[in-house]
Amino acid sequence: MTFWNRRLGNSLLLILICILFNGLIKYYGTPLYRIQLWTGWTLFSLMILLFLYGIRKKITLLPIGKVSSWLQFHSYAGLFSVLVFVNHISFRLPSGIFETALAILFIATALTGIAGMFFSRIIPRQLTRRGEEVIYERIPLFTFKLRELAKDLIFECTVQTSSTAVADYFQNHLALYFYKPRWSFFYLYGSMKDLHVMQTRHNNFCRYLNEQELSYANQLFELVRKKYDLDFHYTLQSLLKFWLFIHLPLTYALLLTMSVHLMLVYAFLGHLQ
Amino acid sequence: MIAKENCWDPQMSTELVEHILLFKLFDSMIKDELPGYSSSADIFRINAGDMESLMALDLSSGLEQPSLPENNRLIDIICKHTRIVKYKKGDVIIKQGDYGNSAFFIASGKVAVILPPGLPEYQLEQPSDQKIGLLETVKKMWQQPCYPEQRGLQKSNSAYSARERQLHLDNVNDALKKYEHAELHSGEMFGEVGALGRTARTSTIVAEIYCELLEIRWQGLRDLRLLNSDFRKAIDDLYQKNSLLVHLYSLPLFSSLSNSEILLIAEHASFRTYGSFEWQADYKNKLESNSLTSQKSETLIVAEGGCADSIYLVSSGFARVSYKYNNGHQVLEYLGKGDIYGLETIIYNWKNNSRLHVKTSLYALGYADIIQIPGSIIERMVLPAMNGNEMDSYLSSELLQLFAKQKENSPVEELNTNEAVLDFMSDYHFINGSSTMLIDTDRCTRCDECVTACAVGHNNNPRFNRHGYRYDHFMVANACMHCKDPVCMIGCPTSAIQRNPSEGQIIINDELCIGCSTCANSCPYENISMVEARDSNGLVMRDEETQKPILKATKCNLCIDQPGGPACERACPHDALERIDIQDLPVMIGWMNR
Repeated sequence: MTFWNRRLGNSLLLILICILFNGLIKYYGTPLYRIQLWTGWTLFSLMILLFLYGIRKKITLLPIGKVSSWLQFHSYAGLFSVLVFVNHISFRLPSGIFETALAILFIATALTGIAGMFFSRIIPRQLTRRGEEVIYERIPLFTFKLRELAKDLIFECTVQTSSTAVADYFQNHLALYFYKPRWSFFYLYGSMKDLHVMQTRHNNFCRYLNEQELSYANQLFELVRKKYDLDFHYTLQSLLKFWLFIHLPLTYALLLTMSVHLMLVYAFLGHLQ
Repeated sequence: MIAKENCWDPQMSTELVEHILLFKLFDSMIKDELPGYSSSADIFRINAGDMESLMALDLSSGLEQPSLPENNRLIDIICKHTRIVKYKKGDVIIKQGDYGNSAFFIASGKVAVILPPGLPEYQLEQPSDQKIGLLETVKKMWQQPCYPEQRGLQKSNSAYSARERQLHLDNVNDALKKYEHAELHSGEMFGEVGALGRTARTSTIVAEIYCELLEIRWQGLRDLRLLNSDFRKAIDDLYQKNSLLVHLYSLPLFSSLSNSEILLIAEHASFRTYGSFEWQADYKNKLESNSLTSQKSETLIVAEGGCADSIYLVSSGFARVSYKYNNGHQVLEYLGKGDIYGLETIIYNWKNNSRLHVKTSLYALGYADIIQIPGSIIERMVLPAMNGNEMDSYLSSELLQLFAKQKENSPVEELNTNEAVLDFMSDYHFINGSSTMLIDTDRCTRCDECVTACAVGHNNNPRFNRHGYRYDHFMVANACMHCKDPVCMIGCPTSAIQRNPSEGQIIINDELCIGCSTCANSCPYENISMVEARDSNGLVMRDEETQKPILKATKCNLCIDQPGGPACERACPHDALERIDIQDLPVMIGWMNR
């Protein structure tokens, strides 16, 4: 089955479930049936199911279906939960601090989830097409190696040319650049502004070099390019890894707040009746 | 006993093995050096004291191959690589489809070779490999060791000892009456095709009466071949003849032929090995010199433009079919065991009464055992029995296009197939892999869930690197591919690296591994890692004498003991990772074009 077919099938199923759900809400949507209780329980159950995906990822060895199938369910059930949520709050802004906090938590969790889906579809393609494949944890090591290569080159250049021009240029403009992996927003939307700035500066600098110095300066700029690709991978891989650090705490907070909400609802349910 | 016309002629193999003379080889050595042992059969009943004196003898003196290592004397080979095994009546010695690393000489008794199609599956039901249960799996996940590569934590994997589980046929007489079989007697040998060809067993072999067999691991066969040229020639002849027969019998192309017709084809067929059996060294050199994509250094089997007068059956190894494209060669397809080359041209010429030449070249990839059968035999015995649909099934659309171009005498244009992928897979010999780890880097989020899952399944030690050669956005990761031709097994001195008998995965028995690194050096794909073993305190274990760290070879075992199969594949949230048989082109191309 192609991804397109799978997506189409799952989307159609989701639309069907949404239509059914809306039909049920309309049919039973009277105070007599306390529809808010039903949508609330549906939402809570969905949250539990969505939360189970995280647990499934931890128990990798048990034969309980592929994680990718669970993620498919997680994604579409997450989208469905948005519909249940807006029905649960009756398409109005919640009143009261606790309910507002709960709603904000839900919206934030849903948005980070959608952002995660977006990142996981867009970023891998960008990573594939730029530089060499590099393992995230090794990026600092590669950065260090590049820095050492650059330093060696500068020393050699200084000795061979008896000039400190390239060394000074490195010290003034590139030492910090090579110091550690850099995180930059420019990479997120594919801009190469940083590199362009460095290229322009390099071209300007090259006008004042003799042939021997120029050769070293060009070699140095090759290292700059490599570092740029490394930073690109660092930024995008960081994003792929760390959006979960927002999504997961929000999920835990949401589950906790929902449980409290549930207890409060049942505590005051009799009074409401 | 069945009618001779309908079965594999036992006389043929009997005649062959009479020329092997392993026992006679032993005899001539033993009689002179060890009075009291009149025949080689006595060597099986040798007592401890005599064994010591036998060990002291240099039985290989006077033999050729003076460059052999000192410990490669006949007696050393016997002691290291052979053992006596005893089977009761009805015991299954070899099961068809299993993988084995040994050949057997019959010291006494009689065995029956069940001829294809063989016994039904239910009669050979084997207790499945002891995969660990769910509770044990959960326990394993919670009890991860603190240090990497700790040893002595768990008992050895039961799957490794699968060969010790004896399969038995209760009603052996009834089975032999019912199914075609051939008999082998004392002094004959069997199992060499699977052992030397690193392939699955082709027949089931059952003890007809109580048997004593000399089991020789393939390392022993290898060393004996080096030790004595007569033995080498005899074993090679037997291997070729049996491999040829087994192959002819297993081909659907010849399924409609009678036994005598197949034997006639065998008489006209010739068996030849192209390339080097130990091709991995050449592969590594080419990789280092960045000349993998050059086809010049590969062994040519059939040249493009030659006369279409034979068909070529791939008996083992791999070959690539390519055609000239400008100044290079474009891969059209690759062939593995059981594939046929040249039949389509013969069919096309026969059907259309034309004389087209071979439009493609056939090269050995690494090495290939090829059986060549003259086209005239095929035209006389096979084609008349085939109907139009059968013939058309051998004519692929690509080839028809090539034929049409040849008739028009116009240059070949680029074909609409996934040639570039084929080029890549064959250049790097990835077609060897039966469970190659492919990663779609356009979907992989680099989350390393696959690596984590692998580590959890192997006591906190990941057994692959998410890194490797890439074609477009597909990466062949550094994970054991469980090769069809596992060259890593070639040099292992202790048989620690072996095929899982039932499912064919390549596994390493940690207890047998002596850390010699031969397998790691042999693996052309660098998918075996040598690690330092640690004790329960996390300290590196050292050899008492040399104080050097104790090394162990490690690699992916395809989660053979896990209830759900490869954890890496199941753990990938984005369907970016798949274990694929690269030779299964429809599956691979389908997966790539999802």
